[in-house]
Amino acid sequence: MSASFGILVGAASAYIGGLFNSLVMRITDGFLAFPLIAAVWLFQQILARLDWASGYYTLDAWVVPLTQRQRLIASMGIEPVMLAFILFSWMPFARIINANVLQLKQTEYILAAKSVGVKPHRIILRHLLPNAIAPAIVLIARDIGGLVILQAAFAFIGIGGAITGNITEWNRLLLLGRTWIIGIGGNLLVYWWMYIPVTLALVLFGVGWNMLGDRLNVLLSPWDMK
Amino acid sequence: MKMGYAGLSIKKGTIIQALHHRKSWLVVLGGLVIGSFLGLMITYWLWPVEWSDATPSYLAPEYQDEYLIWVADQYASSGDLEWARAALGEDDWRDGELAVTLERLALERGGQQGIRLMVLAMTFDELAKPNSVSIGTTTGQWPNLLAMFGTVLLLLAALAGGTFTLIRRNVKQPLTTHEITVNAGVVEDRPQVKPVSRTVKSISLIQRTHRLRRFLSNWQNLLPLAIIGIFLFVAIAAPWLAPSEDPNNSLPFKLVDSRESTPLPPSAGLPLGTSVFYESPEMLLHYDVYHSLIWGTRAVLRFGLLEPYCLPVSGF
Repeated sequence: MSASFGILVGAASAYIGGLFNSLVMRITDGFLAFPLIAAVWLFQQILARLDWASGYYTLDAWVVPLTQRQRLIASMGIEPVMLAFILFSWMPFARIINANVLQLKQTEYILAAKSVGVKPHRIILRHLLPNAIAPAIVLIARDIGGLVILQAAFAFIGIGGAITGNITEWNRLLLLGRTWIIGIGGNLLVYWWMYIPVTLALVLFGVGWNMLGDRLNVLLSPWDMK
Repeated sequence: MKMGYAGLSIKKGTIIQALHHRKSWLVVLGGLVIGSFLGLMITYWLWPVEWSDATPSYLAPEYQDEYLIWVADQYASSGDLEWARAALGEDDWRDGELAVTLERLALERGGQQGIRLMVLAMTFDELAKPNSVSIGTTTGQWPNLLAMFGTVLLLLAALAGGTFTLIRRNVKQPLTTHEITVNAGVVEDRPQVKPVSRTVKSISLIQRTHRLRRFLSNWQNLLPLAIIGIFLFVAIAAPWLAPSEDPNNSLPFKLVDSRESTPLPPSAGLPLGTSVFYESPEMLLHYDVYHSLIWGTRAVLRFGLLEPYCLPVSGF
């Protein structure tokens, strides 16, 4: 979601160019400047106050009834962490694609295509995007590992679901492990099976995706085309 | 610009003409879109299916959950057991299923709602045990598995498509010997413009497979693919690696029945022991670490893969 949105925004605004492009890129900068942790906390607070069983949104004394449609959306179970990640992780994709497309727009074959009268959407989809998308693919591969680790970090500090409720399994293990290692009567060496397996799995997951991103970077870089 | 098969200029016109001019995929696609739109219109809006005299056991899982929570809230405020019985249609549930469903909801929701649901479950069935091992869910394991397969396929397709479209750019400068010989042969045969574009296509295919083979021949490239492959395998094979007690139950965690207040160490039945949630002697949950680790791979992959591509909805 964030990747496709970022890629589309970046490509379209770079193709239009001019004042529009700088405006869109400044909005992107604005999103980049907003800290992710604040966003996660904000959505967490909003969604926690959404009591969709009774159909009301309560914030202190302020009670707002929800419409049927809003209740349906709320009942689908939106995860605050995921929502924040999607809203605040598309910017790198937009920036990187934007820079590439701006550069490619000046090349001869794009100018040739334009002069022959090829439609803009065709130019973007067939000529510009395939040539500009390489760094975005690398970024996606790295993001997959990075986001999971980040989610685990948020879960560890208590954002991302109740320990007995709706939380992913690895994060539950991490949380349970924390209590038994630094809690009362906990011991680092005695209860090793509570944290070592899940930590290893997380590290391996992150390393795997990061390495794939690295190798794709090598594969897709134009200097290595032999 | 004219298309490859020059001479056949496509007239704007009937479906049959479009079919004749190799546009059949367009017709099929259009038919699919229109057909599914009409079907949805008819079934959801024009003549929606109506049920009468139904009890919550017939409801779709998500609405059933909402309804049960609502009944639990009402019961907590009124304490009218007869009303709750009628509202839930107790006779239509299979043996003990109502209590099990309520219990599962209680565990899922937690908090005030969880307590209310638990109270209702306890009143309904004396058989309801607070630490029972099998907690039934209404969804089977197959939808999960299908979603996993679909996600994996999507990711592979995206990666392959991206890689191959990128590699195609290389073809613009003829470099390999293949290309020159083939090019020369064709040009000698038929000095026309049309076939040349075809040869370029086939050459690029050779080059692509060549590059793919080169990519796969390097151990540095294979290592991350192997690591990710292991995770994918574990996620897909979870029902076989860590089977649930109840085949219809696909809850990603397993609770072990134990009164011990400290985590159980690894043993034959529990390869990695248990992880304990302890609040009071009554609220004591033993999670099977191995089971959670295996089933958690699905959640992690789903989060990682879907976030860059798909919806922020957990129930996908």
